[in-house]
Amino acid sequence: MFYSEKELVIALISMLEEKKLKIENIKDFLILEEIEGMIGRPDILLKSRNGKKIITIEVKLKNWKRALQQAYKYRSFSDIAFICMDEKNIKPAIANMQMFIKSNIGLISINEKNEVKIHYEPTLKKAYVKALRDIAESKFIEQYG
Amino acid sequence: MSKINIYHQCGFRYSWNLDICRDKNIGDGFILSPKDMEKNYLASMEDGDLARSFFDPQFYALSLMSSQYLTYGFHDYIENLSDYSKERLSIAQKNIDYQNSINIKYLTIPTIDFELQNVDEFDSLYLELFGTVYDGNDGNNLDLLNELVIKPFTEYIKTISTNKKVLLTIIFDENTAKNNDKFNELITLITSYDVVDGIYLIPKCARSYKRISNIQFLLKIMEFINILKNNNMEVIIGNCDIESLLYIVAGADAISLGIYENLRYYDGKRFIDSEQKRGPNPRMFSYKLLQWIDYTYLFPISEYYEMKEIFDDNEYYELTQIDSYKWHFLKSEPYKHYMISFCKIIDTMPDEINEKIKYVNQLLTNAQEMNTDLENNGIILDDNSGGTHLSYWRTILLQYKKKLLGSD
Amino acid sequence: MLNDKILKTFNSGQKEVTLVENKEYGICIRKIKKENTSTRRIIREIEIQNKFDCDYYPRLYFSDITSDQMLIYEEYIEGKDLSDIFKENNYFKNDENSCLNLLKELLTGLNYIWNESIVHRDLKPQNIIIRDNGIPVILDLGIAKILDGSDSTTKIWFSEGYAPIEQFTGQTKLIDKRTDFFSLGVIIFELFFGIRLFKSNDDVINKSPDYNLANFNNSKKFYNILKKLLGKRVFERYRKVDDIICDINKALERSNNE
Repeated sequence: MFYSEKELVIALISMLEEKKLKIENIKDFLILEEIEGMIGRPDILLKSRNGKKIITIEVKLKNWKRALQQAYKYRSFSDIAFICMDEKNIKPAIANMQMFIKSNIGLISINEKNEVKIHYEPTLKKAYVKALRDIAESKFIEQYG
Repeated sequence: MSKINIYHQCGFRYSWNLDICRDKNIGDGFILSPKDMEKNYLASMEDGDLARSFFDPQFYALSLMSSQYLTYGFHDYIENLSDYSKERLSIAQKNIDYQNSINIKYLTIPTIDFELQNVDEFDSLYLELFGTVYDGNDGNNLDLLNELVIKPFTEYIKTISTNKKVLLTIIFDENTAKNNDKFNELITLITSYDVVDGIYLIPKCARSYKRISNIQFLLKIMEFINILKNNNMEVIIGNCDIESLLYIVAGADAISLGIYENLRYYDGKRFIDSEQKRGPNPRMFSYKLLQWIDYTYLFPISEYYEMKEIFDDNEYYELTQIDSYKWHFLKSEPYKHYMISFCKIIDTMPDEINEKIKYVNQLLTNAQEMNTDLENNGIILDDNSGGTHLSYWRTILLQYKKKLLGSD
Repeated sequence: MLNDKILKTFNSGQKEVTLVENKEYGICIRKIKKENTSTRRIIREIEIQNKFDCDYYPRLYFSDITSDQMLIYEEYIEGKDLSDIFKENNYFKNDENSCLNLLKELLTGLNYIWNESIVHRDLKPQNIIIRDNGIPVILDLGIAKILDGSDSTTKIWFSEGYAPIEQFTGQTKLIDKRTDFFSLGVIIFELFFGIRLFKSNDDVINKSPDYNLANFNNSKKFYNILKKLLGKRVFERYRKVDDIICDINKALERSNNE
C-alpha cells in the first residue's frame, strides 16, 4: 500500500525510466515531474522522443474524481492524459469507467510490487490549446535541450 | 417592472467600465474607488457619470497609502487604529465635506475591516474609549466601529446641509451569519440611525472554489437584506458576482458588476498587498451554466455544442471565438461580454417575489441540466468552472422561500 | 421648605413626595430624598427634566441635590393617569381616533428626549397623566438611558408587561427609542381594547396579540401601526418617529373621510 502520492509518483517514474510502461506503443519518454508554469501542476509530464505526443499523468491515492477533473484540464496542453492510482483504491474508478471513456482520460493502477496496469487507454487527440502545448514543449527543451 | 440598479465596481481598468456604460448603456452608474482613481480624475469626470455614482471611501485597511488615495487628503499618515482614533472627527469631517462637494448620488459612511488591523492595539484602544476590557468578541468590534466611524460620521452629517441620501458601508461576514447575537446587534445598530438611508453591503465569505456556496452564510445575508428592506432602507451590494441573483431575490435594490475577480469578491488583502500575484486564468461567463468557465474548456465544449447555446452571443463573444484571439486575463473582451450577458439576466428578472424565485430557480435548473449534459459528453469541468454551487443555491432558494415567506 | 403647607402625601419608592403649597411656587410637588437611598437615579431624572420646558414634562421649579440630600419642587399636574382612566372611565376604548391622537402626542413629547439620544425605558399607564388640555405628561425619567454614555444603572429595570424582550433580558446594546415604541404599542393596545395585553415577561415572549382585523373595526391602517410598534425584535418595529406619525395621519385621514 502507498502512503503518499509522492511514493506513487516515485514508483511510477521508476517504471517509466525502466521502460516498463507502454503508452501508444511508446516506452521511451522524456520525463518531467511537477512542472510549474502550466495550468495546474501536473505530477508527471511525458514527451515521446519524436515530439509528437505529450502525455500527462495525474497521480492520486484515492480521489479519482478530483484526479479526473485535473487530468481533463491537462488536455489543454497534452495530447493524452491519464490518472494513476494505488491499485488498492482503484475499484471506485473502475466502477465509473464510463466517465473515463466519455472524457477520453486514461486509467492506470500501480501496486507496491510496482506492477502497472492500464485499465483504459484513451485515443490520441491533439491538445486543445496550441499555445499551451507549445509551453509544455518548451519545458522539455529547457530541461533536455 | 421596478428596476434593479447595477453599479460598476470600479478598480483596475475602470476605463472599461466607463466605456461600456457610456457606449453600450450597460449598468446604471459607478462605485468610485479612491484606491484606483485619483482626486483630479474624479474632478474631471462628466457630471452625468458622477451624478449616478457614489464613492466607496475604502477605509477597510485604514493604512491605505496608494498614491491615488493620498491625493484625496482625508488624513495624514495613518498607520493603525490608534492613529485613526485620534483623528476620527476630522477625518469624518473632511471625508463628508469632500463627498458633499462633488455631484455624486450618495454620501457613503465607510467601514473598517477589523481582521486587517493589528489585534494587539485593541486592548488599549478599547480601554481608552470605553473604560472596560476588550474581550475579543464580535460585539466589541461593533462597539469600536460605532465609536470610531459610525458616530463621528453620522453626527457630522446631521450638522451639514445636503440633499444626498446617506449610505452606511457594512461588511457582512461568516461570524455574523453564524452568531445570532451578533446578527441581532448589528442589524439593530444600523437600523437605529435615522440619518442613514441605506446600506452599502459587502459580503465577506471564505470559499473553497470560485462560487460562494456556504448555505448558512447566504441564507443569513438574504435574511439581513430582507430585514433592511422591511425597515425601508435601500440596499446596494458591493463586490458581488453571480450569487447576486440570490441577493436580488432577497430584495436588494442594486448590485455591483466588477471586471476582475477581486472586484467581484471581497478580499480585504487587496487593500494592503502590493505584491504582484500571478494573473488568473482567463475565463468566460456562461449565462447557461451560470458560471465563469476557464477558457481552456471552450475548445472541447465547441466540439459538442453551438457556443451560442452556452455563451451569450453579443459582439464581444464573436471577438473571443476567432482563431487568432490570444487569451489573456488582461484583455477586455471577456469582461465586456460578461457585463452585457449578466445584465440581460438581471433585466428580465420579474418583480414579484414568487416569480423572482421561480425565475432564478429555473436558471439554476437549466444550468444543472446543462452541466449534466456536458458530463454526459465527457466534458469534465473542475470545481471552479463546474456546477457544484447550483444545487446549494437551489437549496437556499427553497429554504428562503419557506423561512421568510412561510410557504413551500 | 419649612413653610410649605402639606396638602397630600404620595407613595413613592426612593423619594418622599408630597403635594404642597409653597410661598414661591404655589401648589406644586415637593420631593425629598429618603434616608439611605442613592441620588444617582434622581440626578439623572433632573438632568433630563431640566433640558425641556414644554407641556409634555412636569416643569422643574427648583432643585438642590447633593449626595446626602435632595430637594425638588416641580409642577403639579392635575388629572388622571392612564391607569386610572383604564380602570374607571376608559374613553379610549374602541375609539381609534382618540388612541391615535394620544399616540401622536406621546411621540411628539418623547421625541424631545429621543433627539437627545435618551430612551425612557419605563413607559406605562401610571407614568402618563393627561392634562386638562388633553396633552399627555410623561413622568418618571428615573431609569431613562442616555445612549451616548455608559448606563449608570447596572441593575435591569423594567415594568413587567410593558417592557420588551431586549429590556428584561438585559440586552442593553439593543435598547434604543424602539424600546419605547414597544411600550407605547402596549399602552395604546390596552386602551383601545380595554384589557391588559401582557401580564408577564413570559407573555411578552410567547404571546402574540390577537391581530384579527375585525377587532380593529377593520381598520387596516390602525392594525398595521400597532403591529409594527409591537414587533418582538427591535428591528421588526418602526425605525423612525416620522414614519409612525405619517401612518397615524393617514389613518386619521381615512377615518375622517368615512
